[in-house]
Amino acid sequence: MKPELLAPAGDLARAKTAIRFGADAVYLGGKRFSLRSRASNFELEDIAEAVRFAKEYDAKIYVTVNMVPHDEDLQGLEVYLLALEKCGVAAIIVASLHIALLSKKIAPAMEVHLSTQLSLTNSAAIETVRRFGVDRVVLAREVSLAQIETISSASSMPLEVFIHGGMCVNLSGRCTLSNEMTLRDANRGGCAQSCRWKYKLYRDQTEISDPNCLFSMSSKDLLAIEEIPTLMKQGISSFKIEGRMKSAYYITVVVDAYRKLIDAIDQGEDEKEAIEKARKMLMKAENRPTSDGFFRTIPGATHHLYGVNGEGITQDFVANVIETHPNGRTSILIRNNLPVHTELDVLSPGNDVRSFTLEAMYRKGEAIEVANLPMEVLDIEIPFRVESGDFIRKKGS
Amino acid sequence: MRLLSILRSIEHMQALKDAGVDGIVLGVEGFSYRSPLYDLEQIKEVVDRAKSLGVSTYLHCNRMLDEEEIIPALTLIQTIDALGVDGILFQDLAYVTLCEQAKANLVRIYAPEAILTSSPEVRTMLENGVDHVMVAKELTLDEVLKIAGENPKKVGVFGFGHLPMSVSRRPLVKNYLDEIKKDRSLADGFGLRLQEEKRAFLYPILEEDKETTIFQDRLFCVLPELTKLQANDVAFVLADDVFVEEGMLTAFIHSAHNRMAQREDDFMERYAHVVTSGYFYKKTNLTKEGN
Ligand code: SF4
Repeated sequence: MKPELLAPAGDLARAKTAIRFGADAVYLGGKRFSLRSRASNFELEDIAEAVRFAKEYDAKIYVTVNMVPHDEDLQGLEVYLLALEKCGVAAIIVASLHIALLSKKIAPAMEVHLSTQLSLTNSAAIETVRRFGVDRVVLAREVSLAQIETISSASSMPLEVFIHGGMCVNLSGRCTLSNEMTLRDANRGGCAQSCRWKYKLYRDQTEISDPNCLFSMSSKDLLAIEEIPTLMKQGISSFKIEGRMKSAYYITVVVDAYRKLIDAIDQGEDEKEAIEKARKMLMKAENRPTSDGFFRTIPGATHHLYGVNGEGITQDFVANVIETHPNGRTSILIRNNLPVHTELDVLSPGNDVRSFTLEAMYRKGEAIEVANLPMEVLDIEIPFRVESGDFIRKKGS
Repeated sequence: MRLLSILRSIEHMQALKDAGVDGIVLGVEGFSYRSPLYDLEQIKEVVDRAKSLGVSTYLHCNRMLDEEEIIPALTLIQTIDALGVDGILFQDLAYVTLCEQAKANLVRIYAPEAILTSSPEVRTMLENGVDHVMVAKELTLDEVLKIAGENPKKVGVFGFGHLPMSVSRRPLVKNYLDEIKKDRSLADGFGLRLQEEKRAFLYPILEEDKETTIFQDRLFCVLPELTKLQANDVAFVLADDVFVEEGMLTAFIHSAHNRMAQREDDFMERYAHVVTSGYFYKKTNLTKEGN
């Protein structure tokens, strides 16, 4: 069976974008009981709207209820779970086995998926969590491809595997670096990413770190395009993309790339070609440097980022399509600096990337040479049909 | 309330017993980290000596298991059960299933160091295959007392030692030494400290075969709160010895034993400058927005 492609969304617009570009399911956070407090801006009505939209595309909505709650955090949980079930949410993602059992009992229409924060790395642990009503396990990021293969054959539990995005360098649910450094609890959505800070390293009182390249635990992001064919053969149920804080453009590029890759492999197309195509597509996303995580080996120095501060954000994404007009012009929402005569790509769901040269641009009917006010609406001419919500970026190499 | 301690060496057992320890906790080769490791023969020797001293023995199976370690872990459980070990402290939920499969008589203590942060969570575990739990280290004293009070004689707490802050399955120090082209052997042993560039603290960092752990710089010590924990039906307090100077662990057990018998001593006066109350009086519920 073809695996599910599971995408993150920080708001309703991003949820819809992910679904339009081919995500089979989207996970998002509500206002409460979820990590990534800033990314979690879904009111219940937004969740209901996301579910309604997803149904049109035969997709599903999952909600993260993945905080590791203290007693003081638990108030209102039952009401919230019932409300999620009523919204038509297909599953909740939890890090608490109490919440897992409770949800199964009072809101049985929702599946319970166990978060990677529990760091499950073997089939015996998976067997243990069955008794808590868990329907799917998100494996720890620390498992190798070979281990995934044996876990998958030893367990009938549906498995979810991270395939793309940021990685905790530590066993995620057990990291209190942020608690120590900033009094912010990673398990309650407050992670300050203290692992990515810079540290001096001493051995017996003598500094052994390089002052020009201090010690850091910053992990490169995960990129698993090479591993997709194997993971598909292993019968993994769901491929998860990380990044509820990521932009709509990032979600678009990443979902589009993996959607096309999974479909190509499913249809028996040449794997190498499909992977290379996906790699080129992904290079256009705002990726930090990437690695294959634990899939093939224990991560070494090349899996880490040292002496880097920037996120390596590209400026390639320039606009969104708003609407097309009978006069042949298209209104676009400007997101980055854009001069005329630029060669551009259009990303539309289900289509290959289409390119054109921007010949002219109009502000309220007046021709202009360059767009440099983000969020301004301008008109342009595009020599083929586009849809509202399509993405425009500088042409890929 | 029982006093448990990591066993630094077999020779150390008598001193711990004399100090008032009720149970000793042993690291075992292949399944533990951060603790001194013992092989099965040594474990047998410890169990026999502990029995004659009237002390319980627990295995500290704190490594998360890889799939290929499941069968060896099952064999280990069967073996230690036959040796007369009293129980295991574990982080990996696999041990619940493995103990059931082995029909072992071991007391099962789920000690994930985080995760167990609420009373319902603890109760859920106790109703599903776990005999005791050790609650998360980042709880306040009030939270610990509430959870322990609601689950009497079932809850253990970390009582003494450097609190671990993070565990990675990556060789973080060796990787860094590779990056700056220094000798990897500098990563070995107990001599390493990390200092965040804007902070004064020196965090001990320990790199072992499969795990790298970073600890708080100060020693957590539960002595001032011990009688409150006792009054609230805490089941046990565990003392650790990693990065702890020789003699201090035994002194802690001795002092804890005294305090539980309402006898005064001067441990806190002697060590006030190096110990801390951890998160007991420090909530860590701030968010990115700072509220
Ligand atoms: S500090 Fe780093 S490793 Fe720890 S929870 Fe945050 S992102 Fe993960």
